[in-house]
Amino acid sequence: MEDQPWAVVVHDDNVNSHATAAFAVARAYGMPMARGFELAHDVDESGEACLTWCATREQAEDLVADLQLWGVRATLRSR
Amino acid sequence: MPRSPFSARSAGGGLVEIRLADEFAARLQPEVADLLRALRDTRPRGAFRRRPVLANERLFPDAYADKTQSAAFRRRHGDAMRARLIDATRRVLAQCAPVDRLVLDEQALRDWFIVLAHARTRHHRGSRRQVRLAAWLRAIQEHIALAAEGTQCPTCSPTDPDV
Repeated sequence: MEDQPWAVVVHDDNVNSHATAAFAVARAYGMPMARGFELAHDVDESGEACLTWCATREQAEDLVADLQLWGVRATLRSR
Repeated sequence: MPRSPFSARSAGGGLVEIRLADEFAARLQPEVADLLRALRDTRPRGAFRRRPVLANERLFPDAYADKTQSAAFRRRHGDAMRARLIDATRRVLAQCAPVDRLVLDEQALRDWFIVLAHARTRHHRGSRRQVRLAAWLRAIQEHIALAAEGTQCPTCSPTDPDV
């Protein structure tokens, strides 16, 4: 399981607005705010959206920890 | 036109310039101070142990679908995450005073945003007053986020929570 890629998933938390979720994800992951808004829209529509796949569990956990610190509900799961 | 009690606008280069009027700072400062107390203070848990007033389980949601894996994640990362949040809260508290112009650099921007996020999360399931307070804190976050991206908020005056 450790060799498999890990998905980092952002969930709808009924706490963040589109703007706060988009900004937090954009800053934590280092992507443009416009892409953050797209992801926030997907989360709003589907309840969750995959932000990225990480090669290792450690990388995925570090990103989830950072997202949670930014106030975003994020989880990781293996393929 | 009267000046708004709070404003956030782009200072260029991704920086944000904020203004905190007296009454605005007087409402925000206790929220940040309360968060810092809740993060640092502990209470007895059994005869010999103590646990934080604001436990990691309340601060950070499950990182896995599985509870056991989530608990292991918190053991690996929780204390470091808490320490980063405490450091950020200390820095924001030091800045949380009436000011006409405070420029938030990248670090300060991050500090303000995450501190407001966690101060807000403490209230979102509480009484009607607490829910209003959470919405107010989120509005401040939104203004800062939009300003950081160079978007001028039309009003730039988060509604007073009237608490």
